[in-house]
Amino acid sequence: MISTQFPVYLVIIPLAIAVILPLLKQHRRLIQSIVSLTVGLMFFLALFNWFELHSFGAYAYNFGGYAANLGIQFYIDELTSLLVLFILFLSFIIISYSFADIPHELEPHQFGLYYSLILLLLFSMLGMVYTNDLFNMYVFMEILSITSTAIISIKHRKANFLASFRYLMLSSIGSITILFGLAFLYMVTGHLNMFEVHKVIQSVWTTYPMNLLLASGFILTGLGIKSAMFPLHVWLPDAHASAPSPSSAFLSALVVKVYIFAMYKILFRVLGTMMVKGLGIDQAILIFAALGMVFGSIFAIGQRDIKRMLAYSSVAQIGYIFLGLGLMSEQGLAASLFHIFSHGLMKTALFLSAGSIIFATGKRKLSDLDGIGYRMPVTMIVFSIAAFGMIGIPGVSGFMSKIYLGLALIEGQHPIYLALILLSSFLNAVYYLPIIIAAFLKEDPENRHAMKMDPLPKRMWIPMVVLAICLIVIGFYPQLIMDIIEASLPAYLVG
Amino acid sequence: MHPLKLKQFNIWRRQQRFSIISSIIFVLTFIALGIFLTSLVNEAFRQSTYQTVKVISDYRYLKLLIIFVPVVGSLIQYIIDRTSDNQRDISIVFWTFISFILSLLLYPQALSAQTLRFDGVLLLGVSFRIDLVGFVMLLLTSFLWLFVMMYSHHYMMHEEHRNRFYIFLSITFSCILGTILAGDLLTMFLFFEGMTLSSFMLVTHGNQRETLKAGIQYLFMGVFGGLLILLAIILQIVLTGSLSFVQEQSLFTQIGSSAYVIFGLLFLGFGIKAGMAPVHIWLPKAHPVAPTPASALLSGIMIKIGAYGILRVLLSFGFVPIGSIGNWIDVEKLGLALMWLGILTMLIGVFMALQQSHIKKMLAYHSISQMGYIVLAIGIMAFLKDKGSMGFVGALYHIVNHALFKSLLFMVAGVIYLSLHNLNMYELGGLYRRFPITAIIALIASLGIAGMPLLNGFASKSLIHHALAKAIHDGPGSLILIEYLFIVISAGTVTSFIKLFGYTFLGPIRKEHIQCERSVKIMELAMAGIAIVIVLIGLFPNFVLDHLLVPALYQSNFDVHTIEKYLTHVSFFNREDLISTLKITVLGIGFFFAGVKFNLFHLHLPTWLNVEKIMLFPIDVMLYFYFNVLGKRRIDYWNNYNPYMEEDTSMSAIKKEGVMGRLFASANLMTRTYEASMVRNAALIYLLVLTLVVILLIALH
Amino acid sequence: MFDVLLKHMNYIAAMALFVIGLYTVLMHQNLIKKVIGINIMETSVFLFFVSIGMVQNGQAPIINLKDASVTYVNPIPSALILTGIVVAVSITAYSLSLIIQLYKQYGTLNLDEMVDEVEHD
Repeated sequence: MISTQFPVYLVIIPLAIAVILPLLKQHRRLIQSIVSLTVGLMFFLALFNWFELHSFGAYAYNFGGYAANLGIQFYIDELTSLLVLFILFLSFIIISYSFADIPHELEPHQFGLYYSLILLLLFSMLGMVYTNDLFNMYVFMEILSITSTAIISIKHRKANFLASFRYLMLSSIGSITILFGLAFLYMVTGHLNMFEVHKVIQSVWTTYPMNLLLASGFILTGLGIKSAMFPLHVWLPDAHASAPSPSSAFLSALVVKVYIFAMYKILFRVLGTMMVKGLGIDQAILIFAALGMVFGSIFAIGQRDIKRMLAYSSVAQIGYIFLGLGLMSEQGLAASLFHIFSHGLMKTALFLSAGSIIFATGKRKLSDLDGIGYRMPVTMIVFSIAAFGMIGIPGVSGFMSKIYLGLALIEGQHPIYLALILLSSFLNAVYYLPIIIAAFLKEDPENRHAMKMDPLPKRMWIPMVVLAICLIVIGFYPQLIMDIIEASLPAYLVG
Repeated sequence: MHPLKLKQFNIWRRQQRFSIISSIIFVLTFIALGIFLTSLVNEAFRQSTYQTVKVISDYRYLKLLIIFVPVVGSLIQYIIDRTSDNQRDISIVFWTFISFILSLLLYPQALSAQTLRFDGVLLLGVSFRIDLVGFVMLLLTSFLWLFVMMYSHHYMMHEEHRNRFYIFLSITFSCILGTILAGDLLTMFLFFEGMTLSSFMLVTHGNQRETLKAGIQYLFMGVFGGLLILLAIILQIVLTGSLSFVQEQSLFTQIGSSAYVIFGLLFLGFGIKAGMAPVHIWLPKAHPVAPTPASALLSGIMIKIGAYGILRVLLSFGFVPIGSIGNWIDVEKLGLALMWLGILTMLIGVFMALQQSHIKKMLAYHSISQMGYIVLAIGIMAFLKDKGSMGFVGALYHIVNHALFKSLLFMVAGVIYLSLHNLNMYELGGLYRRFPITAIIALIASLGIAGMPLLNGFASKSLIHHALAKAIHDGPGSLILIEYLFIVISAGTVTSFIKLFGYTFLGPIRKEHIQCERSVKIMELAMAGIAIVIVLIGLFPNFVLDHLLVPALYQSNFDVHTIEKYLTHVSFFNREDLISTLKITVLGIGFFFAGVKFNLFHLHLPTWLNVEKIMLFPIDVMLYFYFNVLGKRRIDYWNNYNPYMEEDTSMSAIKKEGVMGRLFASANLMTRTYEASMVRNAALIYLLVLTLVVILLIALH
Repeated sequence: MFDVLLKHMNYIAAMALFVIGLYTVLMHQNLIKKVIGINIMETSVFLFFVSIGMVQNGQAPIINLKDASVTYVNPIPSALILTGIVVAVSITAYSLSLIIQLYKQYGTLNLDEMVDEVEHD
């Protein structure tokens, strides 16, 4: 297999380039081409790796040739490589959008710094997805939390500093909690490799139940903070709303999802389905998810700022993902993975179009958006398509997530949660539809009914249109994604 | 010719181009319709006719083509013709005409009831199917749409945003055609949702404050209905594994009481669109505020789609499929429920219609009451199961007839509005002097809706009446009450239209109306086209019944003996029916005079009788409680963004708001309270959750 | 009873430190104190982690080739915690730099006042 080493390259390349970028200072074009080349190259490496995996199957990569119980290990299977592919695809789109938007939001000298942070972000995300070592995951997590706070505070505004400080505080509390949990796990099992830990856990489970309970409680709470599970989401709205729009897209569409994937790994690779069910963790997740779905939507209704509203909507959508996860069935997992993808696309489209509105008009209050559909038709059409997806209008990928989730819920004998999903969809309609109505029906006092092309550079609207097309194609042919997901559900997930 | 005259002539010619082309299309339409109707009667003629157009009529994707013609047409007209109103309207009439012709060509496929499947789309596959029921709906829709398009050219000249209006009109048309041609529930849902969203733009076209308010209520009730249907779809996939309208064996017999849940959800979901009581509350608000062409189509076609949905799911999932002998689920109970809902709808509709003075509002309430007839007939069909063929035919026939006369009545109202800008019938009068043709047309439509013999309403109403008599004969004794109510309500309809026609067109004309603008010829031509069909159906009620509706029965599992006994060679103009019509008319006239004498047409109902208030009472109480408990402390946070309310967000204003506004306001309040207190104590939340999780785990262990 | 406590000394100490740290984060609105609280929490976890690796009568894990019978302390936790400390230091550094910026912008170190100021904007 040619691409055995590719995952390592994928992690190292962004790290190396990230170091170089600040040296280039103000050469914007050079930075742009380097960054897009890097991400493009990474995408093709990941694509190649993904193709080869299908014929060769999953494998573990041991660093330095040490045995799994000594050294750090990457575990690459179809699912991880699919997720990496998705991360890189979405990053490429967001980055190509950001080339036009970032000079508008930041000082000129920060341009290189921003992309070096973005590459570090990619580095830590890919590392977290690939790694099979608990402590290594912790380290990547810390890098991820620093970089994701940094891409918020890079914009020198009062609100940004505060938001990123609060985000940093909470996420380091989360990391400490996770580390505490890891300590308990290590104490009982003596291993840090996930598979090894899993093996040992099964035999010592009856001997040290207390330690394992504490470990899972701590780790889940810590990851709950990072992945914005409902009552722990408090950092999210400020952070996602105040960040520059490309950063918001990164944070909402990818970073949170990577933490959720870490949660998958802990639950399935480390603890195992049997234990999760035995401890009743799945029930707890279902309850938190349902709360998040409803309250996230209610709080989104109460927002005045478009990006804050989108951030709260993320909280609700994360609830959907956890709902699928909490079902602990093959269908539920597939549905929740599907929603990871479809929400990633939808939220990126929403944040990018909100960013374009701010870019072109400087307006971010919801009450100022009257008649914006006439000034920026393309942007608002993309926004509407993604918002329809959130509401669950058939034809957009969000609808299919709901169908998949609904099917999994009914199969799993949880019809009450299905009713909650529909309630949450209705609430989504309550806050998304007025924006669309105001944009296309109400009149802008400044210019009346003059429909014209968006005042945006090509670099900004092309990525958005690509996203919208993806949403509709997946909306009509969900199998394109779902077949891959179902085929790549690894054995340890299915249990 | 003198150059100046030539110039004037050219302007005239350009202005008249729409009328000329429309007239040509008008004639062509009737020729096509005539050929089609002849082919229904004469088998040999049909063979030879369809042989000549075999290429198109056997085309496999013709159904898809029909659905996409309006949308593609609207795109073309937007790209090429958006700058000239004339050009655009010609093009839209042309494209509608094309879809009308294509619908006619679909007849052979409808006879053989073919299904076109696209596996894999939307996971479960999308399929399109046409049978004779669908064909009747299709023909009706495209026919009416064509005439309303001819009508709308002049009307829309007085409105803004015409391009937008026509684009969304075309999208709505496509979605309606898609709903009719759907071969399974998911496809139907797909187009149904599209219809809800695109028709919202039609309702709110006027951009006024109350327009927006009505539109928002329409939209959210539509979205809510859509979610109910979605819930039913998910339940049905999991429980039975199939959504297709064509079944090999009866689906629902195995799943016990879940079948009723699914049916209940579907009835409610489609019933919202159909204007069924008690979820009709959006209709009397939305229909009057839309521009007239839109309200004609909303009342004429769109609400029928809701009824069509109910009919379709009952026929496909409630009935044992043709050719198989399976168990029936208890559709009688469903039928009984639908019958009572239908009669309730009729009652509310007629009663409220009698209280209205605004013509369009009154017509909207009549739409509700006529939908009640249709729901009643569908209920009878389900109640009598395989012997319910009369209910089925009655429902379908009434769908056709009501679509014709109700859209015509809305168009008449539009003509009056265009000249006088006043639709309060008590402030009009004697308009037959200024609008003689419109008056005749209004008379035809009014008599039609009142169910007078020789006009179309008579046929369907007597069919429904016969079906009801049979249901009473077979069913529990309490159904006799429905019979009495049926007669009283029919009489109420007569009263209402005596009122409408009398106050509007008869009597002395008002001084300020003597010199009002006359109506436009082309609008009257369009209306006349529909009126002709009404009269034709009225004169030959058996024709439609024998050649279009009864054949449709044989495509479902109805008892053949019942069909032969009651529905072949029906003589509509028999003594009994005529006498009962006479009774109804006399009663109606009596109601009218009683109403005038005792001033019964201006009742002010107490607020607790308001259906909307009753329905939303629990939610309202909850929200109000929430406001009083949380709201008093935090008045400063109220000054917030709320798209469902006007600028005034004081306490007293919120008290008056509808449920959406109040929902939004309390969500605002909740968010402020939450953000002000909880977010600051993030670490506290963390501590609580951590302890909770650990304790929960240990306790569960 | 006392025995059990003594045996689980490391748990108790770590928990106590953790709670103290959390209390500091919870109760103090001063940003620097919050950072200190977080550091205390981190220290508690580090201590706990290192204590896991303890082996009775073990020596420091420096391989003694002459004497094969020597028992060593488990070196992995110590090595891990070394990494952990580096991470913790970088987070502390970053948050302190953020605090400097915050103080420049708001002129205060009190979180409540900052939140109030943002909300009134």
